[in-house]
Amino acid sequence: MTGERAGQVFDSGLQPERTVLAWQRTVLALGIGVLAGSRMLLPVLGVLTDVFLAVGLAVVLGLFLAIRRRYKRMHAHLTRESRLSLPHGAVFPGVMALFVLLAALAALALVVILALR
Amino acid sequence: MADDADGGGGEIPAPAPRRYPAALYSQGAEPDPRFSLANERTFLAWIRTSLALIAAGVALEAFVVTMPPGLRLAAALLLVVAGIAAPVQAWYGWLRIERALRHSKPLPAPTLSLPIVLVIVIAGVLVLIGLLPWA
Repeated sequence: MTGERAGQVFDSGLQPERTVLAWQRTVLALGIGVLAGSRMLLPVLGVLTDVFLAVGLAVVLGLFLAIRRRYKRMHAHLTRESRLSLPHGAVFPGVMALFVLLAALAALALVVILALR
Repeated sequence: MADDADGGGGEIPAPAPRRYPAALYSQGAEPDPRFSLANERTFLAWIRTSLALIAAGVALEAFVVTMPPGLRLAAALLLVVAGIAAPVQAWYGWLRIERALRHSKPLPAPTLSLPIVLVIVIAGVLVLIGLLPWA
């Protein structure tokens, strides 16, 4: 690309940057899902909806901030140190998959409850 | 990370930090990071697919779409079940592809994609039937 030092990128295909953007739009979709889900859960769960909302937003915010930190670390690792390996594993994907799986199970219960009302 | 940046010889890269899942990263060789990043984006695409399926299933029932209740419930349940299968596929798909990359083996096919597609098609057909004027 054009940068030499500060603007240096690891890959001209911008793979790390595209991956961060993919994370951000996924986390954004998750955040919208948490907000919409808590609106729908309100008549079913009552006050407990606040717990769902708080936990959901905490996970979303935590993931969003952590993804940025992770990108900066990855960028430094891949460009400055010229190592051909990623510095991180699959903790974030694991958290994301588990959270979405739990949300899907909650959605299944919600659909059944809505149908029975 | 920065403790051995210049290492001198440079023929062998420093050992990577401990990464989760250890059982995966303890085997094979480091693949090109671009392949691992592409694998991660595929994982995320499955997660977004799951979110869309969950939203569609819940919306079908929550917004009380005008169609026979039995068909509506069946379609909603099918969509949410597909939404449950998608993050499972996302995680195990990521794991299997990363393992194949580390062992320089052919990439595995997404195992659950066909069942998920079939479930979505059936749900779509149910909604279509339910929305017909004579249903």
